Amino acid sequence: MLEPAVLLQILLWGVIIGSVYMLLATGLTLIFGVMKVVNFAHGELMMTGAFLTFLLWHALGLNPYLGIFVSMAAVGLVGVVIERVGFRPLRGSAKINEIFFSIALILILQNGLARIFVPTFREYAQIRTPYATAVIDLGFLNLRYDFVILLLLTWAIMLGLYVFLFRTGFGREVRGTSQNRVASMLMGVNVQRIDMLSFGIGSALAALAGSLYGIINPFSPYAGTMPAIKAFAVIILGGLGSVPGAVVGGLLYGIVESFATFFLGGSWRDAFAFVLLILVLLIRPEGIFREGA
Amino acid sequence: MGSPGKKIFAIGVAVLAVLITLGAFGSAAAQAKTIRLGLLTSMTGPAAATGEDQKRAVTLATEELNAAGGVTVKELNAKLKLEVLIGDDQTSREGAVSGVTKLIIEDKVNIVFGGLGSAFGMAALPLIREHVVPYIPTPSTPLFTRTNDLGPDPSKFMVFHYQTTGLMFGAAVADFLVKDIKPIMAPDKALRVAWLYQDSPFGAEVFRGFTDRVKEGNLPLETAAGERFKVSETDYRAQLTKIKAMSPHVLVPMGFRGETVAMLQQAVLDVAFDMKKTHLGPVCACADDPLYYKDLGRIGQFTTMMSLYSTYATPKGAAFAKWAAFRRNYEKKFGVLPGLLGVSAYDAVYVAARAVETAGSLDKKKIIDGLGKLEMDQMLLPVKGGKIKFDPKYREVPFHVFAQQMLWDDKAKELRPVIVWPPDLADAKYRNP
Repeated sequence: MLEPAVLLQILLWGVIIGSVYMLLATGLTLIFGVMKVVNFAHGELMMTGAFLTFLLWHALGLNPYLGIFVSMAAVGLVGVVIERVGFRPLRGSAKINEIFFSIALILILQNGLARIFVPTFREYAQIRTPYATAVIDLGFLNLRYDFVILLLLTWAIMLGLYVFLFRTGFGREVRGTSQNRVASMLMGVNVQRIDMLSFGIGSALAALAGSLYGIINPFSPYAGTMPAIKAFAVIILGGLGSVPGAVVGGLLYGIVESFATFFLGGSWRDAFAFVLLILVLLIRPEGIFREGA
Repeated sequence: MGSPGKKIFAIGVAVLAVLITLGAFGSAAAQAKTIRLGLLTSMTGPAAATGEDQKRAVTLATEELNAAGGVTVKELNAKLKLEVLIGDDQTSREGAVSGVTKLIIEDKVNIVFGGLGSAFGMAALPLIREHVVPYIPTPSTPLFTRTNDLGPDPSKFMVFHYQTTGLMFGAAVADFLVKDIKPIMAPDKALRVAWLYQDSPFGAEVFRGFTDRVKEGNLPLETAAGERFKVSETDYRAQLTKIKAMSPHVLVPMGFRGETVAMLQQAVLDVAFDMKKTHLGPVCACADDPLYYKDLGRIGQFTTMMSLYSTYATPKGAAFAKWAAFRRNYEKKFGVLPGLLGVSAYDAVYVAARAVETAGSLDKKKIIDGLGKLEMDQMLLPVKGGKIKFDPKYREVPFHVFAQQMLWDDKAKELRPVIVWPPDLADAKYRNP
């Protein structure tokens, strides 16, 4: 008989990793929603963010929770540049061009990071916060301060994003562009600026996801691929282009993954969550939330 | 036309000139000839840092041997220097095939050796067999010399495995747990051992080595769990929670360095394993690297590790005196400490050199015979009986695995190991937390 405390722990692990998926998927869905661009290198932007936070902590001694914001700004800027010099010129051409451009980005970012970090840190690095060993003893488990901060920070950022998207004029323009690009242009919205901004915000969210991931788990330059694939699954699950869908989908995905690992073993961690995706698509092909909701 | 005397003189001078020229060329050719060793390892890709460790250690070994005059090759009546050529497996199976092709076809090496990933070495095997090249792999899988059912494979007769196999490690884990941990954790009942191991041939072989040893030796050990995780996994919390709920006496986390550090950190910090109730370890020797001691931190206190070469500890006995000199020379030359796979490759250079000397030839078939007949004092890695000799059935070396326990060192501000098992190599007793 399984004890409720054990099930509660499994739920907690699912919510924690689900929060990372949620951030990653939100960034991805924001980019897709506005630009209809599929950026396969989103996982590599995540790892770039993780390594930047790591570098700021390791080389300069900056508290990782402060470093995260520097990293978000820097990767956000990288995202803006990628959009401006990469995806924008490709807009309107065949989709295959965008796909190959993002595959090239994957290789450039992975190998660039590997060249810089692997010789020194071997295959894995991990960000150590000042609270790495501080725990709240709940009797049946140790709740690390880092987990609490991760949850608080994730939800604070998501709340900030909600306020930005639904309570500001700029956010209205973003949503408008996502819903109807041509109509937005006719209304005088500078859609190219919206593209750049969305890509920047999406990339910054990937950096946040990567940095938080790097605080709770070791990571390597190649570690972004699987979370990015899962983020794609999450946005399909939640509804393409839907931010609430990414939030619910991310959390659901993390929880299902955690329980699948517990009951079926680690080898099933990735597979079972994709089974869930297939089931949702069979029952509700448009995802849990409708596209662009 | 000149006189016949002049003609004979001219022919004589010409013949002499040809002879002198041939002699000079012959001598130059002998001088230029080297023993060409092909290091097949990962110089790019995720495992590049470990490949670099192998390259450094091999450089050190060849410099030492060349400084001592090289290797005597009887058939050529000369002492030849060693030359190392690198084949990059790019940390992939495809890369291994192109790397070994370069070594065999372009570089025309006499021997191929080294490597860290079993899958990559195994991918290179068909070409090695096709060209009948002597091969001394240093990854761990026993399949280099055995078939899938683990019997000897005659078609791989040119392969001489210089590394502890997963089976040896697994058996050693069982022996160590029975001798050192069971009397403390479960003196009057079977010791319940939970495994969390990598879902790969490496993990499966170590686990199999353990279960086989328990069965063969009828050891009082019970496998409480055999949980597997994917290669490069970083989140073990759900599986650790499951294992903790089973209340095992021992948790054996079996993976590579990064995986092992994450497993132990999450077991202690997140899932709150009580080390007084559950012993954590032994972990794999492949984790033994300076970064392991640094990354794991204080939470690794009292955990154990099976080892073949320790970054910081030295087994007792005169045979291990050379460890200090090796570490010193390596650190002086490269500014870092070596790891197990670097040490294995270092030893493999000496094994290759001795095989050529035993063969007295650079002919590949004769070198294979030389490896079969080889018997030499152990180099750095401990060998049972102190002699490196490939057993005729499996062409493996009977390595002497030891267990070390991690203790916190306030001075170094890092963990430091002491050897606790077996008694002939141990310098301390296991400390119960």
